[in-house]
Amino acid sequence: MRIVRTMAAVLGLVAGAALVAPAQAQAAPSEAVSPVTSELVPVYDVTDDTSKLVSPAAAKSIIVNYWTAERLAAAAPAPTPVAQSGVASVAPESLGVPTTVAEPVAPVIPGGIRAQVAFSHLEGRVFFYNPVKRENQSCSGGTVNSAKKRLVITAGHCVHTGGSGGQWTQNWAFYPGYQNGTGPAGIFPLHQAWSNSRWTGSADVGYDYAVAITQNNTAGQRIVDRVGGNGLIVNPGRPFVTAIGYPSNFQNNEQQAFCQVQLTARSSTNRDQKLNCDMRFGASGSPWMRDYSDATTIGAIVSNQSYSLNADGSGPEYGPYYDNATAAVYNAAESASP
Amino acid sequence: MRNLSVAAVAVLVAAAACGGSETVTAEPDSAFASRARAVADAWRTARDKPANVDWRTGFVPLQRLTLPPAAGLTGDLQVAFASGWYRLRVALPNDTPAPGVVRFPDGSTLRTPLVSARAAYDAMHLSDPPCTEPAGAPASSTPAPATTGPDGAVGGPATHTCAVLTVTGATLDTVRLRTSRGLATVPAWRFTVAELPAPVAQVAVAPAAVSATPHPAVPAMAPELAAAREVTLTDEGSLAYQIGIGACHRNPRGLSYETDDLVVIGGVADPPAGDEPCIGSLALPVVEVVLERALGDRVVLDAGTGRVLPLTATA
Repeated sequence: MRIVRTMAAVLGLVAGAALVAPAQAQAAPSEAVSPVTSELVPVYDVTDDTSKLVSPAAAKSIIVNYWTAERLAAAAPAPTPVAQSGVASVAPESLGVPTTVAEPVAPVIPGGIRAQVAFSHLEGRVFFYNPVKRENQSCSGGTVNSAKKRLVITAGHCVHTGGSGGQWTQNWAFYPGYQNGTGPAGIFPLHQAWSNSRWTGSADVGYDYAVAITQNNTAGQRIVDRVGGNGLIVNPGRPFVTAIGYPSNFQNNEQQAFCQVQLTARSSTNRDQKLNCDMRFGASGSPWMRDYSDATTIGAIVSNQSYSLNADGSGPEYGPYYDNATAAVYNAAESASP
Repeated sequence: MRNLSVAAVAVLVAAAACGGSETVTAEPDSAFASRARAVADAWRTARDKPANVDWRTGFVPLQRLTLPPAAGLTGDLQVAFASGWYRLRVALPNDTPAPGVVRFPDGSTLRTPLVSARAAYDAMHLSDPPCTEPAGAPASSTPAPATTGPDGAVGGPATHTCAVLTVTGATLDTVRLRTSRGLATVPAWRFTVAELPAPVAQVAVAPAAVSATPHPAVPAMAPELAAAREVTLTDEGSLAYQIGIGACHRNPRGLSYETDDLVVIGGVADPPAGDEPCIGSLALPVVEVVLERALGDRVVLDAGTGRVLPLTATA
C-alpha cells in the first residue's frame, strides 16, 4: 500500500514544552566493517557511456580522464556516477539485535516548536553545493538526539558525493520544518559531517548514511533544543516505519510528505531496506522511523532514503541497513561535536 | 552555470484566452504549454476572487523584501547575500519609526506601520556566516577528522564559502519595489555593508501589513517537467532560476510561457536512458530564459506549484 499525503501545516506553538530527561546515547559494540581497498568501484565511463564496476586504479584513471578542464567548465551538469550496492549476501538471522543508540527527546526551549498534528519540525530540507556537479542540490533529513544536541541524519550522498573521486559537499545547511520556502526554527549550518568510509571510499549505497553536526541558528539555539530529536535504532530488522521528507512528486519539494509502510529486504541476497512508497528526487536522506508518534511527531530512525532503481526516481525506494557501523558514525559525530 | 534556453521554438499564438496572446518556449501543444495554461487559468481565478481584496487595495510584494546592492555582488558575496550571512558591527536602533507611506504608480498611497532597523536586520539575517564558528574558530580550517579505526566512520570539514556581509550602519529611505499594484515606492532600511560598494536594502513595512500572494489550487505537475525556484531578474528581459530535476538527469533547460499579464516558468531535463539506479537527491541547476519582451508589471508563476515566485531584483 502506498500512502503519500500531506501533513497539514498547523504550527501549534505550545509554550512550556514538556521536559523530557535526555537519555544518554548508548555506545553500541563495535562491529568491524572490513577495509574495502581491494573492492571494485562503481564508475561512469564516458568513453562508452556505461556504468561499471572496476578496480580502484582503473576507476582513478577513468575519473581523472573524465574531468577535463573543458568538461569542468561545461554548462551542463556531469552525469552522476551510478551507485550500486556492493553489499554481500546477508542472511536474515545475521541482521543483529535491535539496539537503541539514541532515545528521542522533545524540544526543551520554552516556546520550542511543537505540532498538534502530523507535521514534524524534526524533519526538514537540506541544501548544499555539489562541487562535482557544480550546482546546488537538495535532500531531506531529520534530527537525532544526543547529549550535545546538534546532530542531523541524512543520506551519505548529501554530505559527500561518494567514492574515492568524490568530494565533501559545501555550504550545507539544514532547514527543519521547511514549508514553502522557509522553516520557522531557522537555518542550521554544518559544523562537520560524518559518514561511513564504504560510502566516501567506494560509493557503496549499502552505507549511504551520514550524521551532520550543526551550528546554532541565529537565535543561538542548538537544533535538538529547538525542535526536539528523534531516536536512533541500529540492527532494526524490518519494522513498520514512517518516512518523512520532501519529494519532487509532492508539491515540488516545497511541502513535507510522509508515507507509512513495512520495510522489507531489497532481495534475498541484498539486505538494503526497501520502502514501498513513491518518494522521488529530493527525498534522499528522509528518515525512516519506527514508533513514530503523531502526538509528539517524534520517532526512532532506523534507515534513510538513498536510491531508486528507476530512472524517474519512482518507488520503491531503498535505504541502508543500519548496523553497528552506523552507531559508530553517530558516536564519532557526537564525539567531534562542540 | 547557466543554460541559456533561447526560444528555439518560440511560437506566438493568438489565443482566445483572457491573457491575450501567448508565447511559449516549447511546442504549443507540449506538456509544458498545457501545464502553463492550466496554471495561468488557476492563477487568474485565485487572483480575481472577491475575497482577495488585498491584491487590489493592499501591499502585496512580488519580489523579495531584501534587495541586493546596485553593484558589487559577485562571486562569494553573491553566495553570502543569497544565504543571508550577515554580522553586525554597529548597534542598530530598536525604536519603531513613525508609520510610513507606500506610493503606487497610479498615485494612490497606503499608510503602513514600519519596523525598527534592528528588526529589519533580523529579517534578512538568515544565518550567522558559517565560515566563522560562534566560538571564533574558522570552520574551514577544521582539519578533516581521520577515519576512526575499523568501524568505518569518516568525517569531513564543513566547507563553507568564506564570505561575510558586515553591516556598519542603517538609514531609513525608500526603494522601488514590484507589487501587485505596480512598481511602488516603499519605505526601506538601507544597510551599509563593509564588503559592498552599495547598500543592501530591506523593506521596512511591518510584516502584519504585508499581504501574501494568492495560492491557486493546481493538480500535480507531470513528473517529466521541473518546477522553478529562486528567480533572479537579471535584467528587464531575462530570468535566471533553479529548476528541480533528478540527480541523474542531464541537459537541464528552462521553459517559459508568456501572456500580457503573467509569465509561467519551469524546465525540463533528459532522464537517463533506461532504468538504472539513481540516488534520490534533487539537483538544482540554474537555467535562464529570455523573455519575448520586458517583464514589466507581469507576475512570475512557478509551473510546478502554481504560486508566485518572488523575484530577487535590485531597487
